[in-house]
Amino acid sequence: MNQIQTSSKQKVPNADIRRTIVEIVHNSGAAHIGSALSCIEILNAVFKNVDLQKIKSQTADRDRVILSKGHATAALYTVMYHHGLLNRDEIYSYSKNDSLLAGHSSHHVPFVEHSTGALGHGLPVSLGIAIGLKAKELPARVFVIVGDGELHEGSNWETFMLAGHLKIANLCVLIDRNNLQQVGKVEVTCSIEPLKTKLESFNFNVFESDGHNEKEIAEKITNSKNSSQPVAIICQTTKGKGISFMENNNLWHYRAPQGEEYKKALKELTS
Amino acid sequence: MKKLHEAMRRDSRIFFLMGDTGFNLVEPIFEEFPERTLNVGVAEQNMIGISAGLVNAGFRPVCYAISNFLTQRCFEQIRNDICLHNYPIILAGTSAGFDNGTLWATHYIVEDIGCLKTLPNIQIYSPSSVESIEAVCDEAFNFEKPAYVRIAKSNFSMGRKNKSLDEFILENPTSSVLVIAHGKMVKNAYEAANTSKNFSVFAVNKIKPLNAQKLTPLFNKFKKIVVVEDNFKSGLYNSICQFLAENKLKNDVYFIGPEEEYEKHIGDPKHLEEKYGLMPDKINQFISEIVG
Repeated sequence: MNQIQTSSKQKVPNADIRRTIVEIVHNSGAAHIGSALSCIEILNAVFKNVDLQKIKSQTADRDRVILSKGHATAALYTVMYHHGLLNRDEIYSYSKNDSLLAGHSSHHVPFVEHSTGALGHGLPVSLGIAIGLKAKELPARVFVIVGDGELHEGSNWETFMLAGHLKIANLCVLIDRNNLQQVGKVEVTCSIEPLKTKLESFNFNVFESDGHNEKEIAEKITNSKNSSQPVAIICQTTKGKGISFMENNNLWHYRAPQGEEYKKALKELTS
Repeated sequence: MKKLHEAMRRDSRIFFLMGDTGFNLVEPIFEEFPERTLNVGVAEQNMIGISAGLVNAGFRPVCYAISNFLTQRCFEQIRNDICLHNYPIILAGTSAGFDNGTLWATHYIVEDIGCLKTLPNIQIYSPSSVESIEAVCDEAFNFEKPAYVRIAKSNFSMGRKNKSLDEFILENPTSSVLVIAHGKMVKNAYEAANTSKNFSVFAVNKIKPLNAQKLTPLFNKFKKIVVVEDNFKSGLYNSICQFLAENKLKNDVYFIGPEEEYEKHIGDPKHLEEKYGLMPDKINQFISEIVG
């Protein structure tokens, strides 16, 4: 039987998540492992903050989690698995033929709120959910994880502008600031700095955090709950975090670890 | 807008979004339903994304903007955020065909149908009269699937309610020629047929999906089919050709509509419709030639 795991919120170590990601990406030869490894602590902090029971029951007042940088969906699915939202067979089917778990987030996967992959879509949709929840006077929050390279898409700025203008305070944007996009550095390609100042000028309540310090991210999420403005948490991260030869190396935007690299990756995560 | 207003009173799920369009038209709705209306500003990508999010939160959105910006600026949002999810959202586009001819190519729209009909799940309506707008609204406000409603600037009235969504506007039992039109071009075809009395006119108010049950008997009865539309050949004409080919029907099919090009010189709707043979006298001239 493929029982859904019943992990408690306290028992989801980030190292376990990373190991699962390495395994499923290795098994399927999938892409984007570097992008996935940079947002583990962000996703884990978010899923530890939300009421999983409401998500499982799909209540109208559940918190929503949307991974706008949908190419990092190995991270979303693996965090969901370790939080009991996907079962073992499901997670190990990742990126294989006939699986629902594609290389980008799909709403056909249980508990995934919205399909993403084309960048610049998740944030506008999240604003729509937040506006809808507010109109219905439901207290839930909407957490959306956006990549830093993704911020080049203009649609994001349409959303930042309107969310700030309307003071949609139940919207929480977590920016995975890993400084790399597919071809190179974000700051070299098209600078998004000064990001904090920019978002503040759009009337966001902006926090900064070590993006690999889950506790710090969780604190910012909790502390911003009663914000009167939409919230942005800029999470400073490292692409490929946790595996020395993948860190800050864009080779791993597409490559899947095989052979000695796979063994070495698992060893680093175990030691 | 009156139908929308009534529907919003009836159905508390309806949320009206607009992209800074509808001055002196939408205000009563905004006043009555402040919690279910929003002007997102000049930001159509955002509007479509927001509408998808509103469905997630339990609403049934209606997005209103000039057709060009509603459908083409944000095509990927319509594809991924609406059609991929099969979300029940109505895209109500104001201005069709050459309505905005004098505003030039960025504002007239002759490729929206061809553009949108490639997307799975979407329903495409092009109402041809004030009565058919009512019939379209009656169906679209059931919110079963994504829908695009192409609203032309026309007050053409048949003086009676629609008997069905797609129907004869004028039936000539002795003619072998059938004109099929949609939107504003139904009026032009109707006026032409009233003068020459040598062909029938059938209005297709719902372009996607085509109503096979309605169309098949027509193709069996009429040998020559003339599609009249203020859209490139990628619109209804293309759909009719596909329908005939897939059903192995051997009708002669003709097209009256714009060339696949953008105008260099401006023109008001009548001027550009005249240029492309869409005015009643030109329609009659075309049909006289094919009748021989």
